[in-house]
Amino acid sequence: MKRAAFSFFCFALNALFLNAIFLNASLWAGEQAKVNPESITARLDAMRQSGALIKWQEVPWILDLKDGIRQSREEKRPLFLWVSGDDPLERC
Amino acid sequence: MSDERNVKIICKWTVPVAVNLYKIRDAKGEAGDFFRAVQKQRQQYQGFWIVSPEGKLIAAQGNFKNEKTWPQEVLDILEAALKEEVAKAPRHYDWKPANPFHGHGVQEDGSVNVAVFVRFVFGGKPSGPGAFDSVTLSAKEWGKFAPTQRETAERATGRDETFKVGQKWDLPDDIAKRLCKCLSPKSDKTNVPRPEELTEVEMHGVVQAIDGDIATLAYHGKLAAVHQHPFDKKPKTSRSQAKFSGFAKLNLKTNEMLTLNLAFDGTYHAFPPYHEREYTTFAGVEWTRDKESRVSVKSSR
Repeated sequence: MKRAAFSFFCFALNALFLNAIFLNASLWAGEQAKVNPESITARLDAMRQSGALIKWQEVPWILDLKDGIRQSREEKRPLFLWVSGDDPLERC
Repeated sequence: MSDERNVKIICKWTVPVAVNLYKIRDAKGEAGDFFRAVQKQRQQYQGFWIVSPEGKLIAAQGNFKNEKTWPQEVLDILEAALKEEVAKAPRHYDWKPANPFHGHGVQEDGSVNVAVFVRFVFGGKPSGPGAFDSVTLSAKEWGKFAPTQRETAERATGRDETFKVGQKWDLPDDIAKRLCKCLSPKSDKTNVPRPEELTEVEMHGVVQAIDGDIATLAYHGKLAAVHQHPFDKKPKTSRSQAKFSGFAKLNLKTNEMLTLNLAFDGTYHAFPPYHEREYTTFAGVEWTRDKESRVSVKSSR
């Protein structure tokens, strides 16, 4: 009885081990499997910032301060000077 | 800055200018002198200054209390500083995109500007504004997104018959490294790993399908980085990694890329003392040849 139980235990352990190998292999294969363009675009659509989060793009930014100063003087309007540590309107 | 009320005031009653701190503070001539004079009146690292046409400081903001109250903080400053201006008639302005090639089109030199966005993800959903960015790829770099790069003269002669479904190629590490901006969900550039800080780089391509003259190219890869804080001389690093997959559509007849879409699933550990928590991230890389059209993916196999 003990021997039968031990055999079953070994069998179960082997099955578990083999399963784990196949599962890993299929996961890796899955990673390299065909890309589904529809699901990629659906994910991008779901995750991309909405228009409300990038409203600052609607501002008619001038990227040359010299032009901005000139325009500000011509129009007699204050300058709104946005300064960031990257090229303007790049990483935001 | 993305609050509708703030955008309205900035557009209608100010002349809005956006500049790079590192360039303008060292710039020679009128613009540089003007900025340095403004900065002397209110020292702050980044942010905004509202100044009269003569350069006299009206208001400024370099820091905010917290992200939730930030739009209201900006609005309070704008309303107080521009009270007299807002009583005047709004200005007329023509809007055009600051970067018309952001995520679209091919420039005269053959380079493209692929759009990038990165988000924090909580419970499978994007959270917070994340980062909005782009990567400019030269014509040569862009050519590596397809398995063969034919000579220019040959391109005009017709369909490239060398393409076969199942054909694989590896993209050079230098090109995959250009996508390092996809690893940080923070908008501040100090958090973005530089290409040379990547510790793991892989990008593989395969011709997945050919439907008439259109080939679907699929990509898989992974990136990982350990990023040193640029303004901290002591070791202070953030860590990030992401696996990605995506596809491009290539017109075999014209040898023109039509669209590129990559999706990155990653994790991010901030700089100490916030380094222990692991954040889930998502990044997207997107580009289309034509601004208005997204190439139909329904014909893909």
